[in-house]
Amino acid sequence: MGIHNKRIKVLLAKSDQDAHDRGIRYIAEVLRDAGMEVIFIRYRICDQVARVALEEDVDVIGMSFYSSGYTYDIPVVLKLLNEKGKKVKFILGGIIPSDEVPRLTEMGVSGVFGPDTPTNKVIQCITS
Amino acid sequence: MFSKETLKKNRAMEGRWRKRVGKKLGEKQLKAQTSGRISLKAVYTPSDIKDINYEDIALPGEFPYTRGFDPLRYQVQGWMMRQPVALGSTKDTRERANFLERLGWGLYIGEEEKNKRAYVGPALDIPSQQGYDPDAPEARGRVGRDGVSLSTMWDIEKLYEGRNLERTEMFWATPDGTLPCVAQYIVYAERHGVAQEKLRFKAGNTTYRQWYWDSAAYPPKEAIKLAPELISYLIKHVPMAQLQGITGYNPAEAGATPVQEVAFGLATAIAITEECIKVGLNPDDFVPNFHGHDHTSLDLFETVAKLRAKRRMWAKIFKERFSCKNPESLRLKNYPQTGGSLLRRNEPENNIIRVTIMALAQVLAGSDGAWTASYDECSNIPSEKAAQIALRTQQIIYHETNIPAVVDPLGGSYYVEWLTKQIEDEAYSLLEEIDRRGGYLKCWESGWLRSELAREARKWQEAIDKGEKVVVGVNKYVVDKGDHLPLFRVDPKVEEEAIGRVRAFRAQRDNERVKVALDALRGALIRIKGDWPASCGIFMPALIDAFRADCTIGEAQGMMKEVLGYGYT
Repeated sequence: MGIHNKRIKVLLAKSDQDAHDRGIRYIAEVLRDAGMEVIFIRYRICDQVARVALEEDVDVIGMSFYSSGYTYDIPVVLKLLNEKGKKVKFILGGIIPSDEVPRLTEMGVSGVFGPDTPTNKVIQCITS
Repeated sequence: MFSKETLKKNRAMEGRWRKRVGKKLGEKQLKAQTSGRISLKAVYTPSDIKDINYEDIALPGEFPYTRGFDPLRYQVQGWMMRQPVALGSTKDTRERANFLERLGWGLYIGEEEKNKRAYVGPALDIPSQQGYDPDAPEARGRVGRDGVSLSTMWDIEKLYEGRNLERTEMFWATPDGTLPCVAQYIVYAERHGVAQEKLRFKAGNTTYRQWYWDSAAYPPKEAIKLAPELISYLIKHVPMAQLQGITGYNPAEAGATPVQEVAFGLATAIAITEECIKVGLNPDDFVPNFHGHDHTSLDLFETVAKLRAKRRMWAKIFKERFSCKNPESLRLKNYPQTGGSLLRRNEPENNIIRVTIMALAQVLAGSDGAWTASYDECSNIPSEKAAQIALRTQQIIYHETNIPAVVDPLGGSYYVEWLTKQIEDEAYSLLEEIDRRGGYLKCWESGWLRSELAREARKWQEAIDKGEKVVVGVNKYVVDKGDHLPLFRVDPKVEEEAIGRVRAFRAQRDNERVKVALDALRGALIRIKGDWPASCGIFMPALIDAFRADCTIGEAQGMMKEVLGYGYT
């Protein structure tokens, strides 16, 4: 199988403190139906997200936040990945205020998708 | 319910109606359905409710309480205003509560000043809910952000300082942490000379609600034990406490249709009651103090019908299945909340209208409480302005619309009575299926319940994705993609201060005494885990002793998770 035919491998992650998982579970199904390999984890401490991403050698990380934890978790995960030289496409979902987006983009986040975003936009962002 | 003659006349009228409609529609078919996909006709008549036994509708105040359990409802006492208030520090929370109290907020709407009681329902921040003290690694970036941080006796001192506890109704918005919060409050009251017998609060203890979104601290077989453990303590020592929350709100937010919401809610109440019977309690001693927390959607009539159906089913189930004799056991006290997932970030002001419609459904259904979300809650915890509008929404409905003048104003409507019966029938079938599958807890353990919800959640989102379900300003008539809410944020300093405070608290207490108390707590939990139901009743006293020794919420709940949890390390 050539490199171009490789299935895109996506890690979806959500803090186990952050209850509402309806959105990320829906995205998991949509991405799987689009032919991607999807791993979904609930993490206790955000360092675990970077660890799983490295162990599973994923192409994409998607994290979902319905509470404020993203302000702390995202920079930590990105820093841990950078330290290991791991390149991934990093996307976010959930309740992320739009005025945070420029700061997150600068940090290396490729897309921020709030509730009701048409799912083809998420797929487009991953495959572009 | 109707004479033969009336039904005959009605059939003739229906015939004429169908003819007119046929001409108007031609080939076109009507395809209306409720939000929960119950097919609807364009009009309802006596034919649709002729087979309903009138005694099933009855009058307000009469079994089976379809029309509410109070014969007069809001004319005599307004609904309970279930607004949660909590943000940042305990000081911020107090200031917000004081602000809303100046606007007329209290326990019951319309209550005269001299009788007024306070309602204190702090939403705890996520770490406090999950049993992490502010300095735990898991709490980083989350302290005080989505509620108030409640960890030590110092926090609770600040939160309740100066309150007359005997005239205050407490509620803690924490699903897994209710037992520690109750124990801490009992010790706080004790230190201020108020005996636990005089306290009033609603104990949520909705551990099961966390299964709806995979955020649970305890597996079903352990979580269920915490219900009789708390209930058996409270009925002995805190007679005015509301004992157990029964939520339909959380299943609905996780994707449940109204029929599923009713069935899963009732299945929860059944499972908890059965567990309490197992430890030797009599349902008539505790079921009267269960309290419901249901969902309200924008499908106004379906919501009203759902709330009426649930009241009726509750009455029948506790009468027939559990042979309850106490009339209060048959009366479901229900405090619905406006559906959070129905609020939208695009054009957020529209949420004021959405919340108003949902609040109308709560009131038209004769609910015991109303809980109106703030329009900015889709993005953040409420700003002061948004919290004010949410309160004003309830006050305007109560004082300006005349709706409270008549009990169950939609009772007798062909449509609403038909839909009430329809939801009841479908929910009974689902309850039977849950029974066939071994009961509520088995349905969680097997994963069946979760997959039923996931399927509905997916259908809902797909319908929005495809534009079949219209959300104004979101997938139709879209003019602006950004959200322009003036964001309300909590100062990150709150976290640093909370960390400093909990460490200072631990430094000044007798840590040897804490260790002894926590060891005793572990011993009690190990017995609860291994020797159930014989061990029921030993944990709450040990927990209260732990707070007498000044342990923290994180330490107490951490110990519960360590022994009863999913294998936390």
